[in-house]
Amino acid sequence: MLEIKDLVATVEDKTILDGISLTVNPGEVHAIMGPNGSGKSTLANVLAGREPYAVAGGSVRYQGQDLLALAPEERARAGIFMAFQYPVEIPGVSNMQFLKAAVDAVRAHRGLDELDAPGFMKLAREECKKLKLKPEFLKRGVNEGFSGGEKKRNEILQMALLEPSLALLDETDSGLDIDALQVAAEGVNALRNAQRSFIVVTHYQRLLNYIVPDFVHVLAAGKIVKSGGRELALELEEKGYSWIE
Amino acid sequence: MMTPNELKQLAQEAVLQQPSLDWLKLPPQARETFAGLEIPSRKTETWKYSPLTPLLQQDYLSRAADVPAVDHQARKLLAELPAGHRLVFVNGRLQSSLSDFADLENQGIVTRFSEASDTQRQLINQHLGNAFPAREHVFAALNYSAVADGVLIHLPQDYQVQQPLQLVFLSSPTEQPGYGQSRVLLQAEAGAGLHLIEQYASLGVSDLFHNHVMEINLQDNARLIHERLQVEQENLIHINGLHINLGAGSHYEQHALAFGSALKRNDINLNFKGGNAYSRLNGVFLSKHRQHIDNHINLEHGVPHCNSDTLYKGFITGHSRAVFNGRIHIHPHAQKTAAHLNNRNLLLSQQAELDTKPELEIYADDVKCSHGASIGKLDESALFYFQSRGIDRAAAEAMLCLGFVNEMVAQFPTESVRTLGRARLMEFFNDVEQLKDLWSLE
Amino acid sequence: MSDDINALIRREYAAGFVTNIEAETLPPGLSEEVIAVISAKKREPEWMLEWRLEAYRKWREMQVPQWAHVKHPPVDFEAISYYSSPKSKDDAPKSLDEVDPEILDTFEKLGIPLHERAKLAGVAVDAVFDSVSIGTTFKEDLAKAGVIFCSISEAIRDYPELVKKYLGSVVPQNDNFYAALNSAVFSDGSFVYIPKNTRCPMELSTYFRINELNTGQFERTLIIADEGSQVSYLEGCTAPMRDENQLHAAVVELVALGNADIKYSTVQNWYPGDEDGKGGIYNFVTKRGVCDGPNAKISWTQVETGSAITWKYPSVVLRGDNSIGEFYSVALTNGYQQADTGTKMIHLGRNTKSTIISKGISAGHSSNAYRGLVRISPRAQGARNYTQCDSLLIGERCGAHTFPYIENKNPDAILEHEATTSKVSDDQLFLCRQRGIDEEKAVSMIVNGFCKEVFKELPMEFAVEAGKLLEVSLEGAVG
Repeated sequence: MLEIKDLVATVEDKTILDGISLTVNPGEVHAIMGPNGSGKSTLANVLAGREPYAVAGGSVRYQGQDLLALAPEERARAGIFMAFQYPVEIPGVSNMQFLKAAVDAVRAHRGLDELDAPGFMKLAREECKKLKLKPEFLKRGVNEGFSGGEKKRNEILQMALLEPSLALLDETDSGLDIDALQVAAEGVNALRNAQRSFIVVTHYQRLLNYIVPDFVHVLAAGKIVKSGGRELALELEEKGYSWIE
Repeated sequence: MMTPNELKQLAQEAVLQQPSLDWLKLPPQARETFAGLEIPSRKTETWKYSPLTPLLQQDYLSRAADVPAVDHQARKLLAELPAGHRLVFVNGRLQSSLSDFADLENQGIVTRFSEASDTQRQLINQHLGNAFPAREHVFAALNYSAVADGVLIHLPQDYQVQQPLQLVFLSSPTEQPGYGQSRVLLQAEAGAGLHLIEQYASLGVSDLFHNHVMEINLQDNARLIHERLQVEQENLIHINGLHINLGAGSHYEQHALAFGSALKRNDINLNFKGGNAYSRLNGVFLSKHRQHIDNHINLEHGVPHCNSDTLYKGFITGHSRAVFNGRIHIHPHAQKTAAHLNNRNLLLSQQAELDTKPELEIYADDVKCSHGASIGKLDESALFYFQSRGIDRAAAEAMLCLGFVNEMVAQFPTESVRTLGRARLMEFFNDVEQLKDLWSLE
Repeated sequence: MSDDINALIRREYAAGFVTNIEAETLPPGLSEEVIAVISAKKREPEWMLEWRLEAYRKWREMQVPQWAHVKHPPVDFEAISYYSSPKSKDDAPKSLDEVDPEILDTFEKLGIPLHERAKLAGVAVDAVFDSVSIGTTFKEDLAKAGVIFCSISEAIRDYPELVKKYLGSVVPQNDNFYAALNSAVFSDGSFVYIPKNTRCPMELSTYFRINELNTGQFERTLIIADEGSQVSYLEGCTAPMRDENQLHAAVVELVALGNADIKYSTVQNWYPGDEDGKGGIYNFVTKRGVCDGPNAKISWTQVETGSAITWKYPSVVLRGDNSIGEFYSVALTNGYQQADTGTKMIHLGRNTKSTIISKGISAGHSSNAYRGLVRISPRAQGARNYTQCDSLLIGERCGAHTFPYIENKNPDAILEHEATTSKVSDDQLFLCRQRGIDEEKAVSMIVNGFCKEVFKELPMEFAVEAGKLLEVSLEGAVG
């Protein structure tokens, strides 16, 4: 599904990722952990194609194609979904308009028919319900005035509607209380299946109690310094990041 | 091209020679005022960024624009508006055949100046021209210099007009360039209430100079909701003065959408005359091609304990130029005023220009006043957010533009006005047709 | 507004004394002859006289500007004496030892000791008394670093090439009415040249003092920071208390070449007039800098507490790509003072950035206006401006105004302007008093807090002085 080889990424000439290699197979959940500034969020952003991160070396192949050659929206249409750490607010554009435009674009790419407005609204409302979001939520401006929890649930809602093959969760737990965290995690878990893969970026082990990973990788100074199973996260929690540095 | 002086001379030889209703007191005074005023030039501070060039390029003032038969076309356009009482003007003249206000006319609520009773004449003479300082408004003086007719809307004490009242100003093609002058006097007695929908639209490309003045007097505790759409074709010259007096406890709320034209100028003058009055001005203006639009808002806080909130957004692209000037003037003793004004703009073209000047002039210390102005481009992180969801950049840009504008349009109280506004917006953004159905999701 | 606050609006002007020295003053009035006399007295070369006369001829065609938010009776330009200098045995003093001790005492009283023993550590001072520079300290130390710091009269004689190249290059002779007048009659002022890649080893400072009655002061300052150099320059001004209005029409030109950095700070405390609005300086000043190369930076900081009328707009022309302009201002008006001050930021180069922080404090019957222009040219891709204008009103008879002009022709520019007004409220004062702080201290605290963002831009010694100055200007003033 995803094959990252010796990836080097920079921001304003500063190297943030310094030779990352990682393979993700269908259905796997990989957790990327690391202290602040280790480059873990950068990895998610580079995979999604965000500026100003520049790729200075290495390659990323996704479903057999060169991922780095694709524009952000092409990656999204090809099934890569990023749940943002800080979802941006877009006043004046309703959440419903935004979701429909996104779903239409992705469906068109997959050769599916556009959903008509009533059909789409029905679908969106159902997904809202699952995430314990009120239907009025869809009428508000994108993320406008949303609480931290609402923003994160909105990200999960979008993920559910866009049905990605590879989801990148960037610090989805940050700013969430335990209840909101559970709701968000349940949303993610409901989407887990044998074809869909996840890369979960997190600073704390806490999230991994709810979204149980198959693999854990620890990043420090732009490199993967340790890989292991679930237990690595627990060990890390116990000993702190100083243990691997 | 004429010089400003030649324009003035032309106005005096043509417009000012037109007959006025003989019982009206204002026209002779207005003529005198006009004679004493200079036609604005670059050096006139309030016209600094809006040259009158289009008005000087051809002769608009020698003749009043004719009114061709346009009923069929007009009806099609009017069908988009909500049902209700309606006054329809074509090229500045009220058209009975298109209008529908017999009920209100019978009740004495809406009256043509030319058909005013003695008491109504008295009322008109008492109030016409009181809401604005004529010295500063040369075009209002021009308008009042020759008044053959006009419309009086008079709401008796505590009277509530149930349905929205519509004022529709249509411009239609004419044989030759010409002017149309219209004026409306709205007198709301204490406690009265009205919902007004004002629309300016075109039935084709016309060489019209439309000079409109509206005066509103809200007596104590009167309320007015005012929706304004200025969505005419872009060839037109439109100079519009709106002058409002606010009595104690009165409430004025405006929602406006305006497109640029060859020259469009909107002056809004709000005078707070009694305590605890409130005004909200919401507006959005858009200009593209070689359009020009100038918004001048002046809030005169003359008495204590009044609040005003003003938010205007501008969307400027193409080779166009837009101007915003918003002034808050707190007079001495107007303590406990809270006045806030904001102007936010998107400038999207290398050839476009925006000039904004928010002003505070404050002579009382116990007040809360602020203003802000910003000019920016589309937010890159918002664009990325769209792209990361599979929406391509062009569509993302279009959606963000629409969102920026829609934030204001969504606040229009009347659904059919919102719908109409959006339909015009889609035409304005004619390259984003694929997003049209998005509105249906609201 | 409580009576306490009203009671506070009263001031003392500590710098208001007159120095009794013999002066040589030209009779009032202006003509080509007068200009020729000024030029001759300063032993100027012919080209300088020609330049002055050219300016004078332009000035005669110009009108007094009317647009500022200030009111004053018309200035009678024929009633002003355009040159006054302390009388000395022969010509200008050769060294500080030859300066009239009365004058040295004057500067000492003002806190600017000039003689060797007590020179301000680390600050080189050029002292200008009426029309003439009476001495510059630390000249030799500066010369070692290659820095030229002298009076403009000396510069005209000793560095004609630099003066010819840059004088009037930022503020042309006919830029505005007062600048034209200055160009014709300027008597003295400071000249600074910082060579390439040189960091000026100490703060430079000019202290201006008007003493004579009925004289105008027209100093001219020219600062050139060559590529990669850096300088911080301070300017202070005072004048005696006199019943007549006196005119001060200075011109300051700054040239920052590529990668150069000029910081220009002013503490202006000209005599503001008495509590009835009688007398005081008309401060009609043109200050402008040009960032004439990539990455250049010009920063203006001003604390304006004096003058009956202030009319000045220290500006920056951002011509070089990535250049930076800054304007930090505190303007305090009390009594019947009027200020119309602000800045212009003209963005011409790419990625140019400007920051404007303006704090206006109005008390008494005064009027205080911010007037600013931010202009973004079509070429100024990536330009940024942030403007914040805050007004503080003390008392109900004063005025606070904000007139920002924002003109943008570039879609890639981002501009933000914010303005607010607030007052020193009785509630705030009560809170302070309830906690045991007296009213004056409380007001000064609140005002100083309000100005903090600007004060932090001042060099340390100046920041302290500025804080004190506000305190004095508001003495008894609020409560």
